[in-house]
Amino acid sequence: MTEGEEFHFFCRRFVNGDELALIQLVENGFPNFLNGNFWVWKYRKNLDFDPSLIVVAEKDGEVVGCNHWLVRDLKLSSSLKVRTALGSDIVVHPKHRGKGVGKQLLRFLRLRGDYRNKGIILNYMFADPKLSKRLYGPTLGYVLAPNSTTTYKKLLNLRNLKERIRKLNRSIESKKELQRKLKGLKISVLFRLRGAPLFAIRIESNRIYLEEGEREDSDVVVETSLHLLSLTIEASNSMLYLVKAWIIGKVKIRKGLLKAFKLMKAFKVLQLAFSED
Amino acid sequence: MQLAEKLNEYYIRTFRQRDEVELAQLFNRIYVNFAGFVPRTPQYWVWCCLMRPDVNKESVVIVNKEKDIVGYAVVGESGNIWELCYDPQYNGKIIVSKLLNWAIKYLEKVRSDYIVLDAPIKDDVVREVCQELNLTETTPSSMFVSILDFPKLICAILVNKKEMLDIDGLFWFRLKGCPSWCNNSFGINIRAKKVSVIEKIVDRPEILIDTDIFTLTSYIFGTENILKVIITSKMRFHPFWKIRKFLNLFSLLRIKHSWFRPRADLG
Repeated sequence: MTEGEEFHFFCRRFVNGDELALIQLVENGFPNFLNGNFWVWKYRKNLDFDPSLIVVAEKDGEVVGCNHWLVRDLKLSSSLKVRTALGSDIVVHPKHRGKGVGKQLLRFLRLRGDYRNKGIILNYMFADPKLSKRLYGPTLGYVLAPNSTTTYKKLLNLRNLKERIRKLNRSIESKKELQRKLKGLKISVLFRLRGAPLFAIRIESNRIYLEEGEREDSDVVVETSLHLLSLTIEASNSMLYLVKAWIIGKVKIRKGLLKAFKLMKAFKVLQLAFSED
Repeated sequence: MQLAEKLNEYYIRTFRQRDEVELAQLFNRIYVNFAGFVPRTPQYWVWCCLMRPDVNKESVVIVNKEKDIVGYAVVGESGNIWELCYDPQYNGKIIVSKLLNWAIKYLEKVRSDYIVLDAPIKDDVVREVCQELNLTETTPSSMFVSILDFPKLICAILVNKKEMLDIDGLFWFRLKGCPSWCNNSFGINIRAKKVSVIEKIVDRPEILIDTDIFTLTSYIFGTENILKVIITSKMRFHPFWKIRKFLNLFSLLRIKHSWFRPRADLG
């Protein structure tokens, strides 16, 4: 067992009986991803399932973290494939994050060295580049793999956005700060986004409305892609990012440019609606 | 021939028992020149696609031309197209259009919020169809690799290129920044096209290579350039006059294939 440095926990191999706790942990860690039979399918039903390659972090008898290695033959060229392990579903309970649990989970199997007998010579994972730069790279020697893949996406409906606007309206009702931001702001913005249905957002008397489809009465028309809009919202200085994108033509404002100041003010409010909780 | 007639040549159906053999073969054949994914066997394909919790036989859509399977898509109720594959010897645009139109209708029916798929960057057919269907290009997931056993990987790469292995000699690697589980000093001995790993130095190495694990890993996987790493002193070798041999070895060590990872391999 490997002791945590500051926080009292230990890492160990998976044993029968851990399954339910792991399922719960993984499902809580990835709420927007699949649930239900996901863990059972991915591990128990996997042809190469190897329980000795699952690590569990335990604190006072409670499972607080996990890391899974899935054995796979990865193709490195037309004629070469090597035995690898995909590091998957690395989760630490939100209550115990930032205390070194993740680091120990990642190091455990490497330090044990069992992978050598299994012929595993490479480990790979899919991760957030920011997290990798900070954690996985320096600790474990991960480097970014080459990539010739691209992703295409399209929103099929506005269900999530509607839900977020509903929540935002509830927040407006209860928070005076938001009410101040919206005071006197009356604007309707039509979004023509590549990868999303047409919609307009109307801000009026301390309330935000989402309207689907073409709106001819909108004050401003914004044309861009769904991806760029997401990047703008996630950017640390989103206003600057938006202006830059507008200057280089990636965001087009077709109508109502004179209302730029009002639009900027509205954008700060819309950011709350678009961004994930 | 009119487009309508061409369209009729291709018909669409859902998965039937034993299709997995042909689908796995099609996948391996189409992506033969790519690396970075798990080669499909029928058993792996069944687990990876058909048994997935959000997939069922009715959500695996196949395009046939007469008796031949010329394309397929594995559509998950979550909105993910786990695999999309078509044979470019046939009319790719018709096949991909049929698959994606079917997928969108299916996902709308099961009330999925989005459709998302991965494809090789240079696949212009998929790009064109996606543009027509108003799908937007977005950032793919980032894949990271970490080598657990450098000597074994280097050996595997060199053995695989045996026919090009015209260099003999003992190459000694010293790696900085090695975690404790990695071997930070090892030799690769090449004699008459045979490659072996030497753990303990017994003889004077012909070339001594000093670098760090990040530089070596990045170089092997093709994200670092050899001249750049030498100029920036991220990699040093001795003696310098054996540069030709050094470059020969390193040109063999580099993995040159494009990396494509289908969504199904994400987990």
